Amino acid sequence: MQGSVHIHIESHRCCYDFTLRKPVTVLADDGATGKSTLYRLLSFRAGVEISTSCELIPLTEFTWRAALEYCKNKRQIFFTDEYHHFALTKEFADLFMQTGCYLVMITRDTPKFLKPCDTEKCAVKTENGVSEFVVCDK
Amino acid sequence: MLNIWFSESPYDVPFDEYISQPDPWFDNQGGEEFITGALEREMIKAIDKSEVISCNLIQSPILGAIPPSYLSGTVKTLVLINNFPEKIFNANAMGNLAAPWLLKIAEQKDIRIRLGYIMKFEEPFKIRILNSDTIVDSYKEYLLAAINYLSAGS
Repeated sequence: MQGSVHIHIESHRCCYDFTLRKPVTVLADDGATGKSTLYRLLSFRAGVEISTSCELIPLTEFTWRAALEYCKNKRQIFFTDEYHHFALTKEFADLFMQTGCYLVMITRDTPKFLKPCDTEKCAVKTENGVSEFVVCDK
Repeated sequence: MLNIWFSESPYDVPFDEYISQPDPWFDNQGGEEFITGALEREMIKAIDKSEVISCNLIQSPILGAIPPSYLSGTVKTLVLINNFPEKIFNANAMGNLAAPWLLKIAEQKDIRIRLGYIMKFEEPFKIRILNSDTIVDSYKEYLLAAINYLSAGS
């Protein structure tokens, strides 16, 4: 997958509207901004409206390896939450980079096995009820 | 006093009492039993902007009535640190908003955390760096110690 991907996710209470510009988006900010709420919305998506050209896949401790190994569709975007330390491993990075897909990872750790040039660090900012990804200062 | 172990990897923490995933640990070990204390209510109000109604119910201005499992990772980890000082928690689950609260808790008891990024603490403080068993009391000293153990940059 190449280029920008626009994603709109909406529930009764929350609205996320953001664009991914690089293969890896790292969400790390001050806390209580709605990062894990986004992951939760994707995990339990009954009643959640999603508008995007890609398939959104929240990974878990038990599904990530199979999801990456058997990935046939390059238009997938994987999501990991803060406590998913598997996303920091070399095995994960190697498998992910073979997929050609995009990744949104919630972590304050440095994903050192992923290429920095493919990575954008963002924070979630909410204004007028809409949460966006804002690029952090380098 | 606040004690910090710096490590790039969340797995590289040489303490038996280490909890690497405080968020799910809170959910699975009855973290909600501790949220009704005065300090816990204050932290939840300040960080999550939410009111504790009971140990099973939080009123969030955005999400409405939520269970404690929907609290932020920052607040959950702070609650655990205040109530389980014998353990060492992975503080990468917390953002910079946790810093003043960590110093406040550390005024009353010894607490230990693991950090994989440079959390911004405001002086005055006294922090023990566990990697070198040294005490730092300025942000510059703290920064130099952190950089020493976090070479990948954070």
